[in-house]
Amino acid sequence: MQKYWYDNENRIAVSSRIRLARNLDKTAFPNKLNKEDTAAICKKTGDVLTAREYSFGKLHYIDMDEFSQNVPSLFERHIISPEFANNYHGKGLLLSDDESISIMLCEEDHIRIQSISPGDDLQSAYKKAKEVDDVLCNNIRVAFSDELGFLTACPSNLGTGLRASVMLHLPLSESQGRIPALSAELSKIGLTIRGTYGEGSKGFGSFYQVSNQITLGITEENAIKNLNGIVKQIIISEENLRKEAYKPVLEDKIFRALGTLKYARRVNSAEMIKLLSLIKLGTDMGIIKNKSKNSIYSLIINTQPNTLMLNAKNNYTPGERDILRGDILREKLKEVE
Amino acid sequence: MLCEKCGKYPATTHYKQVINGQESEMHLCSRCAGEEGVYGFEMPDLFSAVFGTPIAENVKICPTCKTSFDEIIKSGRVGCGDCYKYFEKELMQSIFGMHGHTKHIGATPKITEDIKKTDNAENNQDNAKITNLKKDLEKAIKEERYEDAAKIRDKIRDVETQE
Repeated sequence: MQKYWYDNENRIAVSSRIRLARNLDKTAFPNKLNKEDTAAICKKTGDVLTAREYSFGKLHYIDMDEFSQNVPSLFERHIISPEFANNYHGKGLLLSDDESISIMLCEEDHIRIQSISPGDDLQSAYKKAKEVDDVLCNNIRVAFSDELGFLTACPSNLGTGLRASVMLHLPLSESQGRIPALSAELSKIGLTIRGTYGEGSKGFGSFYQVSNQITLGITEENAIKNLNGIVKQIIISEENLRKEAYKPVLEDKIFRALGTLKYARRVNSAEMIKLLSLIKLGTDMGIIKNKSKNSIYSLIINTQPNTLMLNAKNNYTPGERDILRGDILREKLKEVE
Repeated sequence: MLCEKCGKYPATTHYKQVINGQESEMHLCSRCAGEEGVYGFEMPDLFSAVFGTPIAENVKICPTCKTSFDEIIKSGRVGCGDCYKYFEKELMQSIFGMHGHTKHIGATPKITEDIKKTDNAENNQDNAKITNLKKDLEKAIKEERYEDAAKIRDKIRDVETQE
């Protein structure tokens, strides 16, 4: 039974994401709005978008103030942005049952449609986002000009307002020092790469996000096609490095990671991501077998500090969390050998 | 490792920031990380450099959302869609700098019958508002309440520019 996008193990390309930025016509952008106007816009767009059934089911309106306890976990699960997590009062979120579509209302723009698909599949993510976008644009006049396209709070999103990104697991590319060169190459063609966990050039756990930067003067289809082409190349290069790797050293690292998490009593998040990344590499390469129903990536999502506490329905100190995380990982990794 | 800020609790939040190749790292406990903003530090005004530096003459204000060009420079964000029209000259160069293009070639939203209907309804509402305000204005002038008259005139202008 698959409910969420991370329930299945996806090798190298973990997930594909599309984000569309939209604004209402003749209306000040969210940073210029007072409480009443913000509430009115959330209601207006919420009413239009929740009124129908989509191919992925219905969208549910969430009043962020009533949902405040879940906010940090929503951020950890990539459902909301860090900006929205820090400034959610008086705002709304639309969410599909499988959490693959989330729409932040009055974040930086009035409407931010986010669609996520498992694996390397920007097309299906775009199809779902477009479905919602069509309903929006057919019912509400959005800020648009023939010259600059969809008008957004930040000029870097003008044009299509579309940001496409693919999350890639690149442990070998990283350990061989390939990321800085890749980053330089990507920036030349209007793409960017950044770490998924932790900021800066080197991410925790070798998870990276590759995305387009340019949104004006390029069609949606071409932006996605360009990114797709590059992502395929990065995947092939990571696959080749995996094939060429000196197995005894790699296997040793992977089994040490598994051994640690199978017996450790206290595990902090940074260590969890680092070791689960190695275990994921091991299962993806067939070095170890995951006989359980959980994907390794779902363990990373579910043992993040706030998601961990939300699932346990309790608040813990960081120290207590590390003990709980250790317990959960020992249990979940029993069937990984 | 102990928190760099308070030195009391173990550092559980680790940040690395790279700006123009300059790396800076911070290791904080969850409490201090919360004080610094739970998920990240404020980024400096990256866009100021792109848009130019604020100067005293930048007193132009967008009639729709009342955002000044100075504010746009500081925040890197415009106040509304009309800012792009009003500050076109000032913004175009940086837009070209970001995208290498100045003309949209992607999808265009359709203007459906439903949208036309709501547009008409809103226009009618605005027209009714203006008629009422004009009546108030005449009355105020008749009664020599000039301060009120000026205020009403501004209100009429606001409604008209919103169209």
